[in-house]
Amino acid sequence: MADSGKAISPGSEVKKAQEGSGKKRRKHKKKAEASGDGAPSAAPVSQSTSQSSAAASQAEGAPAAVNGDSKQESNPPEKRVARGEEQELKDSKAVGKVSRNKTGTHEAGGEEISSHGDSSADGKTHEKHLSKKENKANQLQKLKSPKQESETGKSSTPTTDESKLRKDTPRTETPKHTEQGEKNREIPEAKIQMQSGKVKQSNETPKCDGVQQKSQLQEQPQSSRAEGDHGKKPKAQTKEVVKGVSAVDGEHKAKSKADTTPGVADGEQKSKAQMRAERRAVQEAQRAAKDAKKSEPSAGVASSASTTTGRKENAGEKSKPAVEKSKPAVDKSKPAGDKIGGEKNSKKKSGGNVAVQGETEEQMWAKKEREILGIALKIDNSILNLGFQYFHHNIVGANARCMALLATLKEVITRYRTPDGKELSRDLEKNFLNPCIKYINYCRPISTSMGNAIKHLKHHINKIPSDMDDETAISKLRDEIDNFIQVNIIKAAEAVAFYANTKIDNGDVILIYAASSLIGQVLKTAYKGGKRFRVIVVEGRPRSEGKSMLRCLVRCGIPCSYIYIGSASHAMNEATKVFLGAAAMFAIGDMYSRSGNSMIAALAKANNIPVLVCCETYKFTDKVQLHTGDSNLHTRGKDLVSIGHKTPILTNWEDIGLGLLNLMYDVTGSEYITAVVTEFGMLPCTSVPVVLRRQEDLS
Amino acid sequence: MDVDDVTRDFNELLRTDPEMSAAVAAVTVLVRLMESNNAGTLSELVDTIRNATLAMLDTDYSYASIKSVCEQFLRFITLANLQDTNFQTIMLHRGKIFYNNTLKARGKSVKMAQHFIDDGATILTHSRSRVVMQVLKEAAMEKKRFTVYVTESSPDKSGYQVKEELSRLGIPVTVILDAAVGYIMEKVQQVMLGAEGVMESGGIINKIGTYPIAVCAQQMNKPVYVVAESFKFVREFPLNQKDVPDRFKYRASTFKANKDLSQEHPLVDYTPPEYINLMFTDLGVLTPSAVSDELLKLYC
Repeated sequence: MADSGKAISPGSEVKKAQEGSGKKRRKHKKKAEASGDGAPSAAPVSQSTSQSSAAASQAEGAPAAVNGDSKQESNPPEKRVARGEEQELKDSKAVGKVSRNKTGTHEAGGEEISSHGDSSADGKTHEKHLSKKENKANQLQKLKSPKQESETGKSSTPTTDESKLRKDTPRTETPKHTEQGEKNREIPEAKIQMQSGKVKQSNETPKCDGVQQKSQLQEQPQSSRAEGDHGKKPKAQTKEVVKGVSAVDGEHKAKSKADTTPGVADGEQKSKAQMRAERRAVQEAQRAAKDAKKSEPSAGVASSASTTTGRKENAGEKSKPAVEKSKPAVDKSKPAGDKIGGEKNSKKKSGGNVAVQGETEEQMWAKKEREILGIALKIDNSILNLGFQYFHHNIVGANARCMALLATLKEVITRYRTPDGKELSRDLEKNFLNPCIKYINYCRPISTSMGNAIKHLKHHINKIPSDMDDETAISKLRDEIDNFIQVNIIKAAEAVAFYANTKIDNGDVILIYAASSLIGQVLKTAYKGGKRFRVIVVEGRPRSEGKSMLRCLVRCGIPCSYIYIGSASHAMNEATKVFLGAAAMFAIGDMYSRSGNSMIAALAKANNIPVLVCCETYKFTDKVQLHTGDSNLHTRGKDLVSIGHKTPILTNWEDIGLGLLNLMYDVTGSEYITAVVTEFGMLPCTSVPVVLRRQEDLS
Repeated sequence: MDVDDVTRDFNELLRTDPEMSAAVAAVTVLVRLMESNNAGTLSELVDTIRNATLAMLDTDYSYASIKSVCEQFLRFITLANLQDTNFQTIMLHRGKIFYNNTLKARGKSVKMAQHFIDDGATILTHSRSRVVMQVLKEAAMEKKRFTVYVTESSPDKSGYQVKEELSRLGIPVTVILDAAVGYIMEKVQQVMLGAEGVMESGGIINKIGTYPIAVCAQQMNKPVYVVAESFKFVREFPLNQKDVPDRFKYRASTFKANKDLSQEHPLVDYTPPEYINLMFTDLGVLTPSAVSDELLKLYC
């Protein structure tokens, strides 16, 4: 893989197409088309260039020197320079400080990287790219706060953008047009937002910025420091290596060095910069592994390393040594890991993240990570990137994950060419998509939203007539993906916000749990529409997603309170309504969502407070899950133990034989839910199978 | 035919036939309106119907029933393929179909309910619901033996009217105070209620006092049955009592008089779907959750 350029690109094309000014959109579209056309011919070149740029952009860092530095790359064809520039722009996320970020937010960078990565047709559009990139950079510069780090719930921002730009869909009841003006105003920010939302899990308005970033930054020096120890503690450190090197603010580094210990996972979310850094490191490591396997000269690594350092002057000091270390570290870790894992059983299927006997949980996660690296070699780079982002919980939230997946698939499909003697409608799915999906599922089990999107895509692939040529078919599929996102995510969110708005009265006290992009949008829409209410944000551990939600709402002007879930019963005295966001709705009317939601719902029911679940219909599934334990979706137990900056109180849980279980989701019974707000209106939760049946009938 | 005519016609219909439901009268008026109307375009016709609806809603009759039936009427007649320029004919034709369905609706619902009245049953009912009255009368004609308890039902004390009517048919009826519902609940076997409107959640809007009866019945494990025609299905989803729109709760004259609503007694209350066991409608015997299904079929 090692193509940092082909980062998830939550739809580099999608984003570009959807967001921003028309001019931008046209440019991007052109670029997308061009890249699609030129893909085969330029593939090898783009790969190597992207690799080098990936390597180059290992460190997060001040974009200040970005533009200048990018040109220093060794023997870059023009393309690479452009790509490098773009990557620089992308990489220059605001690591904790807006000022540092000359070129704008992470997401913007991320997308550009991705777009560049696959724009193999740079030859054609190279000049345009350059100018486009500069324009974009300038635009990004004007933007203020970086996006919030993500991980928090679903992305809400894209909707504001989309609604403005897209033509009307057949939605009959849409929100009032008064919102249009506001959306217009918000476009530049929202654009970035959308990018970020798609790339990562940002669900914040552009105004929300990163207090969290600071804390997340603290992880970075850890990781860089960890690299030094990498050879000694492969299992613990592999993760750190992957996290990568990141350029850190001097003060942050110093502080974090003092506070943190190596190998301590941070329960909080990572900053975009960090994620990018990790991604770079991952890509670098993967590329290095690939190189090693193919017995290529390590000159590539060295050159990329040097270019990295060259380009990122104000990047972290550790970037260079880290990059160089990462390669040998990865190599070392592999044999070490194999030794440790030798006794163990074969890796379990995705979803079965259970450490076998004799293996600690950390070892299990590290092993999984290595396996992901190992599997990775045959799969498209952007998918690898995406998988890694999922694995590290960089993209979180049903909407964000789905959009990121669709954007990547869109990009990936563009590069597909039907082999001779095969039909696109069969081969694309079987030989191209299925391995990708399988890999992503292994990195992190796919959510219902992603599953339904994939089903939709496969349905349309199967409908492609055999006589249709590649280009038409692929553009048709891309249009289908765009349409799916528009109708089922963007417009649906607007409709949900409209219906939910009718249930919000002045003087209401609304209680919400953790983060949900849709709930954020609902509340913002209502508030901007003139309703005056206040919000109680209930927080849960260890993900602490409520913080970003809180930030977002406060910046909107909504009066908020913030409590921990332990005091939720106290808050119920004041609350008049409860709004919850769902990851999925089961056929029996149960809701599947972040763990903690079921407790809030039950508590509300006990206090006679109506519970409204906001959920788009594309998240409905005919699956039924009887209780939480049915699905094995849990994540690192270490997150439970970490308490932020301080040293964890419980550190030796593995030694004393204690297992940690960090469940991510839970099931809320339908008896606790008063109503489900969908784009069709308000339904009782018993109507979920009705909607499913109608969807079946219509398709 | 203009707005005043509509109102006059409507009031006339209900005055001459007190057994007619407000909804049936509304549909009759609308069909007559369409017959005499010369709207040039579809939207003009739709506007006319909407204005007529508003005029009828301004009367003191059941807001929920009139609103739901007029909405469904409009939806039904515009659901045709209107490419044909002869939309007037098509819509009128569909309007008449709807009218016939509405006329038959009560009969069908009553028939559905017959199976649930056994010999020796003891039934509690609330206030005077025309549909429930018809159910009980027909059961009596089939020579079933059952006793009825009916609440006095303030403020209009319509329980006494029920006693009078049913006694004539030989059905043993007892009027109880509204406050005696809890006392009597252990004696009854089932509760049968009518509805002014059926909400999207599956709950019902009915005469004030329905909600405590339903809660008490559920607590004592007595089944609660609602008899309501499908034209009463309305696209509202109240979350609680407060969430019921004010227009449902108070008569139009109260609104016009600009009285302080917090001092007025609401005339209806909302019974959530969890307290209702079954609904007998012209579409069949439904559970409350099926109401949303039917509404989705109709409106989406």
